[in-house]
Amino acid sequence: MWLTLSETDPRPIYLQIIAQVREQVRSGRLKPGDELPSVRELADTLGINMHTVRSAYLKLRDQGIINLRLGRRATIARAHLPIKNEEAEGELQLRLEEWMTDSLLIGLTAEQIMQMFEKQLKQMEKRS
Amino acid sequence: MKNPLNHSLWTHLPAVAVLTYFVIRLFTSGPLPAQAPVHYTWNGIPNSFGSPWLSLGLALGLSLLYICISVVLDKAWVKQERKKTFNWLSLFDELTVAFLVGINLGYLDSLQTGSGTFGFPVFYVTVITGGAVILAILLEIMRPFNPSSEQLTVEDTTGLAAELAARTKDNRPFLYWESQNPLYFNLLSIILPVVMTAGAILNWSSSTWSSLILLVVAVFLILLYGGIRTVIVPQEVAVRFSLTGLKVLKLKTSEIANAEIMQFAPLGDFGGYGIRFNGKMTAYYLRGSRGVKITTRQGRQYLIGSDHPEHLLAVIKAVA
Repeated sequence: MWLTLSETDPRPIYLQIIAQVREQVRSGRLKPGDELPSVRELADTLGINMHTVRSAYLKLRDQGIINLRLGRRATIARAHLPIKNEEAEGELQLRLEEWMTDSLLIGLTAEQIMQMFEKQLKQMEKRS
Repeated sequence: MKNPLNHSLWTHLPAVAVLTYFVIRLFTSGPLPAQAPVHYTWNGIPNSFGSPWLSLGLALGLSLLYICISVVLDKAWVKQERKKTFNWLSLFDELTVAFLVGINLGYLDSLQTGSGTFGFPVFYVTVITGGAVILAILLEIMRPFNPSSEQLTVEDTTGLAAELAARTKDNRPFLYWESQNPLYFNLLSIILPVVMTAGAILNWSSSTWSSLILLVVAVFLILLYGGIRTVIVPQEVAVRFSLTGLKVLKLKTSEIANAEIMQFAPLGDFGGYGIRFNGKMTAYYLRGSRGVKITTRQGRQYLIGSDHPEHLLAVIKAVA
């Protein structure tokens, strides 16, 4: 597993951790059963608060991405993909709407938004 | 025509022959007394009595166990072998089984003669162990080498370097982390200490010192829980070990002169798994046979075992 924290990223650190773990699971870099560092180890190494790492891990557990068991390291869950249901689709729709609103507010055109989508998809395909 | 000795298991024949001889002697030596000494002091004076089958049965059971362990080790050796090398592990069962059988043949003799004391059976032990080991050495030398048909697949990591460069630019906090924590290691560090602690508690009243030693070893084994973790940050490459996360290797990235993927034979090259030194390099691995060999500017060499050596190498090259 690898993690990069960016100060310029507007997202809080725990969301950066969640996004990167999810992306590595999606790309197959992290496989079911793979271990993640302990909360303390990750916090110490990156110089961040243990509560930040714990929040990220709890959220990932709630999303079904990782397993958390007392006394053991977190592991990537066996069945995490694909999770396709109406609730998840609805949540994505909301996030997309929010994201598109932000894009339009900063002055991006529909064409530019489409270009951004395509560019991001291509980058993710490359990583897979 | 297929070579009849074309199987690694033939090297265990001497141990099996010795054990077979022992069983034949056991069943042709006449009835054994119902009660006999089953334990002796260092001077050969009996200090515990019971059925002689307790001692003889234990020898039989242990011999079978040693042969099984030796077969498993041997199969692993052959699987990992890339060129014919003398498998000294194949002598394990000959040494242990022949020694046990030698001792117990002496014990059998002492039961039949009815002598109250027990003297170490030097003749039996020397002749049987020596003979079995010489035969095993000959069989091991005769054992033909079958190159493994397993193909080494190297993962394509094009694009990984660019991604890593983007991740590590501007001195951003970066972490690469991977672990080797196999099931056998977890069992070793949990089940064995539990058994040892139970043994120590049960044995406490009769032998406090041996119970204390068992407890100390049990605590040591529990501390091994957690396996090996490789942690890379822009400033250093570290290998952490055990429950405590002790850094058993700590290399500044500026010290690294070269890094390359290496395939190795854990048993043949390093004599097992764990933290190993073979005279040339120190190795850190608990499973697999691939890793990244790091050479420092001072010429020291380290091998870090990995399940994803291509990723590990790419990360080391990105930070070094």
